[in-house]
Amino acid sequence: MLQIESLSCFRQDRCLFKDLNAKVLPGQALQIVGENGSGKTTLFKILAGLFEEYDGRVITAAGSLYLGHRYGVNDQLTPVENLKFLLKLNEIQLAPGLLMDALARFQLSAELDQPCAALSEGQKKRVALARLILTSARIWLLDEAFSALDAPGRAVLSEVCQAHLASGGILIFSSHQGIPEFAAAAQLRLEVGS
Amino acid sequence: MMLLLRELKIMLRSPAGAIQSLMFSVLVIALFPLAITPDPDQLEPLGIGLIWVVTLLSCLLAADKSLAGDYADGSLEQMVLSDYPLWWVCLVKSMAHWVSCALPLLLMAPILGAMLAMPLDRIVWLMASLVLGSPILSLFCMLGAMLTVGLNQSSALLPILIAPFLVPTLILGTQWATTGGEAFYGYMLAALLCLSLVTLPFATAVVAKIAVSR
Amino acid sequence: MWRWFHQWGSPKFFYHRSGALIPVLALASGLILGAGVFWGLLIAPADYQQGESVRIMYVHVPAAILAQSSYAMMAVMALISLIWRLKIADAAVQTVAPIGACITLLALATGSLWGKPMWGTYWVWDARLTSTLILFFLFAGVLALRNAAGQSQTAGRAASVLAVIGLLNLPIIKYSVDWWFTLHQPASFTLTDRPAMPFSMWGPLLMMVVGFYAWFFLAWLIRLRHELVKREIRSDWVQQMMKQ
Repeated sequence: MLQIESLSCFRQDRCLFKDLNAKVLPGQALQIVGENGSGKTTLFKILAGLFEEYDGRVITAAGSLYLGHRYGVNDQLTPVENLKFLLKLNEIQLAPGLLMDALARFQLSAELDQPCAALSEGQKKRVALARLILTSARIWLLDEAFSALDAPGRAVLSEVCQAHLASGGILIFSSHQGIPEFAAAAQLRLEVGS
Repeated sequence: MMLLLRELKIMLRSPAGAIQSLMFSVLVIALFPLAITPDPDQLEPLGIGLIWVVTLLSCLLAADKSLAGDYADGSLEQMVLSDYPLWWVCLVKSMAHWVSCALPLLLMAPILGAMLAMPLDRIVWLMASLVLGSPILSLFCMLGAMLTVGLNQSSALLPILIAPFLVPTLILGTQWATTGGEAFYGYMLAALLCLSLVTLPFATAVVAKIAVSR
Repeated sequence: MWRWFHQWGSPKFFYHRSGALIPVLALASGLILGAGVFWGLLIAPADYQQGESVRIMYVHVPAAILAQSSYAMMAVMALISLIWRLKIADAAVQTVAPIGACITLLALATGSLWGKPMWGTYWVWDARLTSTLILFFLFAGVLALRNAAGQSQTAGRAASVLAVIGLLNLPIIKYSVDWWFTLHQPASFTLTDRPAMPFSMWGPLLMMVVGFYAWFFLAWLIRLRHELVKREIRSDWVQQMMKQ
């Protein structure tokens, strides 16, 4: 479960949002909606525990995984090395086969042993997203995860997300594109300059 | 361990940074005889001090780069969020900085010393003082890098913030080497190293949390 | 005790209560400094060795003492702001840093002026001058970080960590500079091995020290109150005050 209680955040004297309330139960998705500069990224950082200057309460009952605009893929390392590192950060040890499967699911089999610097932006993002398949985190915080992906990439991501929800996970995401699969998800709207 | 291997791998695949900072040091050392005098008798007493100052400068100049990549690609956020103790992450980053920046200089010290007409026994003491002192430089540099990462002009800001903290290391290191290993300075330098090792990674960890919330 | 701490930590309470202190401090610093200057520069005897130039002491010594203790005060405020996240402590750090830097600069400048008659040169790498110079760089670091990181609370916390680490390092820096100095120069020009100062000299000196502190707290308080209003500009109590 993830619950937000009267959450307010000010940044440099500017009110980003005030008195947000939301409750997301296992198996539910929540879309954060708002224009650029409305505080979406800050909200994600607060939920992830990266940003602590807020009033109100955030209650998370499970481990979370945060993927932001910068998603932690190093240019010098290969996709496999990057993925291994990101998983090990959360002390997840895996058989190498599973790792390959996850990368293959995101159509990265051909690029396994070149440094990520040679990959396109969308491909790098897929490396980070492959982590979703292997993680044990129950709360996913995906800030603009659908951007920079092509149509097949978006399709794989929504499949993975739906499987996560079906297994009782929680998904919080933001997206400027419409994602048909999650059109029915609850929405939390942030306004600019309140 | 895994973190350290990752750092080393990244470093080996893009060695340009380490090579540049080494080249910088060698070049600066080569400039001194040109600016002062080629006379060995006048150069020799300056040797230890010059090499120490150059080491300090090249550590300071390389510090912001050692963290900028992790900040830009979001690895730093993931490290802060990870289950690893953050102080350990910071310690590993300091070690990586030391390996890429101080270690090459340490290995080059005999050549730099020869360029400044230093006799062998002084070079040995110089290297000993660098072995004990340069890790302190790296620990402080990582603190500075964490304080300034993501800010405008972090590369100019970092030396201003951190250089004053390096004064004791510089003094003890150079004194120890110039006095030919007088025990008092050696003990003090070792004590400073221990103190820095047990405190600075924790301070850097506190700052890391601030850095990712910028 | 805790309640008292909490009350004074509130910007509104602090602003309203501290206003009464300003005239007191202004009067005290004006009177004490005026009397101290009069006593020290005109009445106190000249030194048997240094002559009239010893009078620089009446500015230099208070500035040097205040420089160190203002850094300590800044670091304590920084620690408070880090631990209890008191907004007022963070504002205190921000406002005291420039004052401290100026005082340190004053100590350096007067020290260098005093050096001319004493040592025959404006700058000597004397242990105390060197530590004061490093102290100035420490202040400069806090100020520079604060400026570069902007006005946010995170910027303040980074600067606070730097200030606290600076305070912990200050004794190490001081001792290492002392060792360095004694190794290079036998201690021949220190004030410590001089005969004890007569009352006619330490009297005005003490007065100047007290006067400097009064002035320092006055300047800090004015800046702090100003900063609080600026930071809390959107809050009800500032808005109310503006209307009146």
